Amino acid sequence: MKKNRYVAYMGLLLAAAVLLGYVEALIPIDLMIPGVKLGLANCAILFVLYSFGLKEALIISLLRTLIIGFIFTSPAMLIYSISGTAVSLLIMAIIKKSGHFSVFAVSACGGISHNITQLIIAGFVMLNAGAGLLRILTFYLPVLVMAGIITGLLNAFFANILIKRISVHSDML
Amino acid sequence: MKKKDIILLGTVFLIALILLGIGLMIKKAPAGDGSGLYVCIYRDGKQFGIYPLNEDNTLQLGSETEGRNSLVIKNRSAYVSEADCPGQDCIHMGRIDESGEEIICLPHKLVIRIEGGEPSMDVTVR
Ligand SMILES: [Zn+2]
Repeated sequence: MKKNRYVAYMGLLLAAAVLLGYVEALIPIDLMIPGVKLGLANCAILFVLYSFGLKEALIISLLRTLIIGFIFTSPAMLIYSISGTAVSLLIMAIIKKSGHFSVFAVSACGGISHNITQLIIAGFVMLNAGAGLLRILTFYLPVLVMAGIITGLLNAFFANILIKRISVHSDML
Repeated sequence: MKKKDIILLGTVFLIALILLGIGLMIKKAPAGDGSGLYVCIYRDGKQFGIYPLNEDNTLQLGSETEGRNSLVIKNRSAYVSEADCPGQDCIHMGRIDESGEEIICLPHKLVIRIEGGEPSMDVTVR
């Protein structure tokens, strides 16, 4: 019984994360670097990280990336988005574990690290075509870091409400 | 938010702001009428096309295997009007009109950049 409830809960959260990713795909925003998005699904991932744990957050975020990847993007872009997801989740888990910061800093650091990962991958294609490293460091990098902080704080605001309102009892685990 | 959150995020934000400030200071002034500026097109790091920014043009880039992008040069600016890439990020990146600005289509390994604007720069028109 416990196990069924756990699986049902995970399925529900995965559906929510995929749905948020879908909503995001409908909002075209110009953030200069391909793959850099608002990261709305991070609300769901943050909730899972705080209410369940790193293992659950990792499973849900990877499954979400795979599903979104198969629906909206090509296999090449899949590697790109999986690395962004994995790096940002790892950074968020480390910042959370340090115990010094709240969900706001955790989420913002997730946003920053996600964007920097995307920039590093896009940077190779850009440098290959003769883009200046100086321009990448003094334009794309700071803009993406600031965007990561702002979107991260926004996500933390919503995730914080979820974490406070929805209490996960131990019998759900 | 905790006090430590504000210190951490504030510091990172400030560093980013300073970097951006440096970037904006060293940015070259754009040539007003778009003369001397060229739209340079690269795939996989190799340049395969160069067109003057002040001549209106519509270009079909790529093939079935490479992926297709339609590039429009109009009113001294360039943008991707159509593409068959997933995500359509190159279309969402909008218009570019200043030297150094880029449109990137990552799935197609395509980079479109405006170059020139300096008399010393050696640009050959194909
Ligand atoms: Zn594209």
